[in-house]
Amino acid sequence: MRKLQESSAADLDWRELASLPVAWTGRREALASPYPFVVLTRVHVFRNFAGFPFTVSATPSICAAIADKALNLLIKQGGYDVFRLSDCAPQVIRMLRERLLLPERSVPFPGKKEFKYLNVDAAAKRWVLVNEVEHMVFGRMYPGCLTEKDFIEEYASADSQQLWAWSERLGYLTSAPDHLGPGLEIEILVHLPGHALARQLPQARNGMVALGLGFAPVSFLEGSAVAGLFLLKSRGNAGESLPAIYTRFMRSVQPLLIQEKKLQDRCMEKQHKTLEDRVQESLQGLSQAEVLSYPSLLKMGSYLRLGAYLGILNPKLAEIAEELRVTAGSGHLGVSSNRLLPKEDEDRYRAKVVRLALESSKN
Amino acid sequence: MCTQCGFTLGEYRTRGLLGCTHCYASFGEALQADLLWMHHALKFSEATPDFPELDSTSDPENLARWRIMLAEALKVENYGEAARLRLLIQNAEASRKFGGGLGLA
Repeated sequence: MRKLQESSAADLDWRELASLPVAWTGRREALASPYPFVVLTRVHVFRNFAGFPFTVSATPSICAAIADKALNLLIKQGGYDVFRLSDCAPQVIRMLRERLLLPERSVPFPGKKEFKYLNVDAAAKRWVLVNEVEHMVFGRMYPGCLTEKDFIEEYASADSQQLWAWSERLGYLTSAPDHLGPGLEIEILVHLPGHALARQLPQARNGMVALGLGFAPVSFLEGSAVAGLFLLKSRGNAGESLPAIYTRFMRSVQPLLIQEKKLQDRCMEKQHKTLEDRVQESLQGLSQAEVLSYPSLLKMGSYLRLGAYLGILNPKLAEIAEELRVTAGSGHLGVSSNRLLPKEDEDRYRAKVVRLALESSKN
Repeated sequence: MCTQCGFTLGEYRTRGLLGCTHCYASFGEALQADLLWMHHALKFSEATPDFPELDSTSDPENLARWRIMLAEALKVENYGEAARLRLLIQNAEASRKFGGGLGLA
């Protein structure tokens, strides 16, 4: 993305963003971690300007004033392109969602759609959303598991409490009451093929919900549950310090990660031959497909990743499968073709992208 | 109903969102129970917000602001918001006349 002030969505080269490497892949430490199936960590910081109503109840003129204030703040911070979401073509919105730069479901505010803005940095790792539930949502993505030290370093410095809606007892005041307090949410994207194969996903979900975490498949990805891709979210952090939030979240997630590792190892031990066959079939299927639907990509990609975690395939293939999960999504394919493609064309194009990526990975 | 932004408890229940910072004080015990349920570490005493006094509903400045907001809402044909603002104005006017509300809050 270029370094600019406010841009018109039509002026931006979306292909440039679509062709960027995926922000959370390609880091060696993530592959070497004991839990390579933790794909990424995403942190959101929610803030609202003091003295303004929240976006949901603000009139269009107040929304415009909020947007002005937010854009001025972003420009002062030397941000990158800021663009109006309502100006973006559907394939661009989809592409942004595939890159996890937009919420899974946006909240409709009739008559105020034009005041929603997005600001993305050059590497598409950090972004800021304006007027989407809260006045400003600052987001950042990290590959794999974020360490406690990095988390504290990044988020410990308090920002100006005068600028934001703040209460001494409750902390940052937000439109969604579950964002209240530190105004911060930690989320991890996990790939749980062990649970999926052992049919233990309902138990995993119940366990996480009982511990107060959100546990859901990535709703905009068709076939996400079958492929074992889930988002785990920290919830209700008011009254807790930053280290306590991180510790509670990681402590709650830990049993699931340990169980997933056990299930994968058990699968490898007890059904080694079947598993190896499925992994090889998936690799072959992806490398030779002429037509490939998105759910099939996720399903075969899941075996590819599992094979990489367990050493059946080159570990690099787990990262390639994740890269393809994003870049072979219909939004990315639509942006490269300048329109949302009909399903048949899209499936053919996807197969070609996947074939080429796997071919070049051999070299 | 929040006397500052006009959001009702019903709207909060439907959308899961609050209209302004004063809603935290306006919705009182109903919201307090939700906050204690959502935020495990929050203590009962902390879930009572420490806001400055809510603006009086009969404050003439508020009335003038709501009237402008009502006109704007009608202009953009946002009838839901207009209806809410109208109720808010009626309540405030009654409060000025009789020293009490219409029981809409």
